Amino acid sequence: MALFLVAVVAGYIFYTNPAILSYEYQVLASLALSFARVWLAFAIVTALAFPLCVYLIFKTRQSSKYLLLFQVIASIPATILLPGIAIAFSGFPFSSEFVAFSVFFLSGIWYVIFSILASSRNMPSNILEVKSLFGIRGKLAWKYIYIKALLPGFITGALTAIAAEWNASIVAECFTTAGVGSGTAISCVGTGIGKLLDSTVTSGNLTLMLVALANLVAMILLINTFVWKRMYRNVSKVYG
Amino acid sequence: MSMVSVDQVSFTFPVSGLKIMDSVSFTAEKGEFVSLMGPSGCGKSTLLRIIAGLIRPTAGKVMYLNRQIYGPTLGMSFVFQDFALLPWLTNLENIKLGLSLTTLTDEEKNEKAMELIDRFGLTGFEEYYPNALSGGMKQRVGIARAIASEPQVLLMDEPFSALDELTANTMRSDIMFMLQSKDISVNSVIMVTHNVEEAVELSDKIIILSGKPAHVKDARAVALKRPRNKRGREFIEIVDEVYATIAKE
Repeated sequence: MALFLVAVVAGYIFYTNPAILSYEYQVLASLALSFARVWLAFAIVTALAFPLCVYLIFKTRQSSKYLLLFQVIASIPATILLPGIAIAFSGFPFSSEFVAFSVFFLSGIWYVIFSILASSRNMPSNILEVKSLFGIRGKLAWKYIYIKALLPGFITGALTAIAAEWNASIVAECFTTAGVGSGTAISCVGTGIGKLLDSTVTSGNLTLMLVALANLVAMILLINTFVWKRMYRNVSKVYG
Repeated sequence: MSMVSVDQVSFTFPVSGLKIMDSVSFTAEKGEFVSLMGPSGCGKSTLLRIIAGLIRPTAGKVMYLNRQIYGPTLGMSFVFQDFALLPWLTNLENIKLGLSLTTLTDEEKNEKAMELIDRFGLTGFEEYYPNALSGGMKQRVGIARAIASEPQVLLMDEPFSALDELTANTMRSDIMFMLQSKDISVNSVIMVTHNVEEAVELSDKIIILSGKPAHVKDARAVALKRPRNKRGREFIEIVDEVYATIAKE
């Protein structure tokens, strides 16, 4: 119902203002590219963070020690490293893509690790005894223990990490000297929602900015409803 | 030949250096139900885990059918006080975990686990998660998981103490019935308990451990006929004697 209402309002606006409709195409293209960057970065974060957490929790059995370390690291905003990253990649082909990707990666990974480690404290305490007693190893251990034991923490971490990545997109996709210097772009991707928002501020195109923001908000709400909330419901049925 | 023999087992915590067990020796013979008793914190549960191969003793050894134990073996299984079911697996999958070390195919494991589901009165609950079950039913899943691989020896760590008295009573008679009717592969049981009546009701032998560091204070045979009458004079006398031995300094 809500979706239908939004569609009707949007349709009316596009119908009466063809200019906004052309903005909409531009925004959707930017959003799609940023979406791809954010989720690709997240996929790589998962591929690295998940096995690392399994190792720390089940092999070293001292995850609480590392938890503090990751809490401290997670508190450092990735954007603070942006100048360093921009310099490191300058001169490479597609350097701006690598810069954006690095910032996304660093914005997300600590939340995933930190959330999984924190939630592992709620695991049944004799799970390692059960594992050793019944000789659950290798593929079976991944299927029956590791993935499922860490899933609730992973979902919380994923949600936070992706939020942090979207948050970082405004600087990651277009890094300029505005505010401290002439405003020249140091590292700017071709297309992306972060870059688009940045350029609307510079050019003063408030209409385009509003369209971009409305789309961003709509996308986040849709993902929350159809991905995260659904996952939470499924998980709390079993673990609750 | 003893089913299990615990030979001069000592245990010292590696980090704190605290010695909690000093030269503990006893055996569990074929067909014997052995209870381990002692003041709380004396290391009964640690001893049971050493027997299971989950913890290595600092000194001494545990033999299962005359072979030294270095880690968990298919011949001995374990029932936990708090059930230790994996909450994210269905009851059927939890029981199947007990078959991980066997060479059965997945289909055979399913078949076997379903058979146990039926035998333990869990029919209809196989696709549910453990959080939908009562305490007594959870422990049934725990016991089914433990005996799935047809072990000879069952190690139980206060298996009935998390259950209400009525449920615990039923479970005790069910277990005893299964053992006596040779319905299951298990022929020796070692159970940790702090409930003296329970120990006298079930055991052929009660091992009483002293406090820190634990050593065997008394090994007492219980020769009463089964099924045992908990109100009988002899039963009450044995209960009193066991209480007295535990309390004695």
